[in-house]
Amino acid sequence: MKPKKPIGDRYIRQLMLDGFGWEAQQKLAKSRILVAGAGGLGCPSLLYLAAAGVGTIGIVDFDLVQGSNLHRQILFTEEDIGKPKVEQAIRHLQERNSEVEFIPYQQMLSPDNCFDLLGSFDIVLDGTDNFSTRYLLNDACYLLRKPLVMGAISQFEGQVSLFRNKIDTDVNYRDLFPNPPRTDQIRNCAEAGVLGVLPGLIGMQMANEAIKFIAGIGAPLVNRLFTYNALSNQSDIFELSANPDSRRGIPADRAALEKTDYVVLCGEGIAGQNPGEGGKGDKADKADRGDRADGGDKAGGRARQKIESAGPEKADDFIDIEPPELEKLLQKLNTGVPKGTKTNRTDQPVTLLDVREWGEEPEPKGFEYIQVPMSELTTRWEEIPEGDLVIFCQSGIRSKHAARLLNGLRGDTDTTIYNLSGGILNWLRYQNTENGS
Amino acid sequence: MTNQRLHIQVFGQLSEILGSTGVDIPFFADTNELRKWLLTEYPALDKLPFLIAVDKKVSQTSTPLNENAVIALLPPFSGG
Repeated sequence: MKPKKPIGDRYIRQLMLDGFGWEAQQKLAKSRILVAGAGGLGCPSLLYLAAAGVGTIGIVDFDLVQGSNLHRQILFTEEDIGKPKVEQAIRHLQERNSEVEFIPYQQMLSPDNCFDLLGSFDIVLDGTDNFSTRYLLNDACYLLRKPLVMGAISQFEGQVSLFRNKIDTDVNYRDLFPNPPRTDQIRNCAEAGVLGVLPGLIGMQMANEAIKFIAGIGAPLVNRLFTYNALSNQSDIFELSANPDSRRGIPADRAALEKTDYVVLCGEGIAGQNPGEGGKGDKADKADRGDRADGGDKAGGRARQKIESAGPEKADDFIDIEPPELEKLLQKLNTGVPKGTKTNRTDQPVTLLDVREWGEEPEPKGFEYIQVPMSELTTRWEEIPEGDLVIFCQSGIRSKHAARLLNGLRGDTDTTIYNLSGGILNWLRYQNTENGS
Repeated sequence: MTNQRLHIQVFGQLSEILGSTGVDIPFFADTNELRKWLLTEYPALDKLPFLIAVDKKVSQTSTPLNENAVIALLPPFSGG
């Protein structure tokens, strides 16, 4: 750690502000903020929180920097690709403000660790990218009576609110949406895309709310939801009210929360949020698929999601497979064709298919595979060898769409399509654990 | 029968189901009736939770509507 270099006039421009001043600056300096997710929302939030002189900033994120992050996760540089986000974020932030104390948490937020993790912080910023963590954070902050700044984005639109959790009538996320939506029905950035500037704007709004709240200035978005549309420039503030039924979904206490499986609750198979708990998310996925009615996204998730509720129910499009099962499968079969091999319509029993876009990290290890990016799948699917498939992507979301898409494209065949649950990140974590490292 | 119509603003992914970010629909006396009609007319909405705001207020109980009401449908976003 570099020696601290106090810069006398660092905060002078905000100290000059009527209604801010030394008192507010001191409050910031004494405050402890936890930023959950160092991604599209977390990066801009962190930049401004650190610059403003927040005393202690914790950052929790388990992920590594990827090339596809750079267009919006503006803390990171090309050299950071493949390195842990938390570590790189702190390095960049510390260069900008050496007076801030940063606490790295390179881990996943889970029901087991969130109480301990949130405990010492004054306020939490939710910049995560999935519903299971959003509901987990909401419920934990509600039980801890801890303020939570919620920010979320979808393509060109964003939402921000501040769940103060101080008095009983304070609105929290469950008042808006008492139960998590089925994840299959709401696409995240990895599936639907996002304009890079949007999380920048929304992330800064989140930082602004946190700073206002700590400094005790202005009108924070308590019991109000701010929305913004980057295409139309329309912004709105909606007044919210507590929902008598909403609190039923919140676990009664810490012990009950720790027993709640938020991944199942949200029907997510995101391994990033649930490593080593093979099969749990699986059940929810299967339940989900039972009555899903959409035909799946087209390549790249750019095409509109076609939802026809009256459509015939489809048999399972694919089977979720956890890393240990994949390992067994690999042991049984000498599979795959070398990367780059074009067509191999021979008698390959199982082909491993990477549907990530070109250049996405990390490189799979432990098996051979072919790569047909999701965005090219509809035009190149016939290059994929016939026979059984194990499809994987980064975290297991795009591969599900790819599985459904391929199932439809291939029509009636006797082949089985497997989806690597939790994607390559889950597989690599499993391998690391198995190797005892 | 009335010739009154309602205009609703549609946010996020809901606009894909309703086909636009702004939709004119038949008149309904309150948000309960409106929600019921929406779910019948657009069955896909059944799978997505959404809030109905009337004049920028989200109420958990049914809210009376008039022709000039500013109605918004708001879904949750997960992205970060």
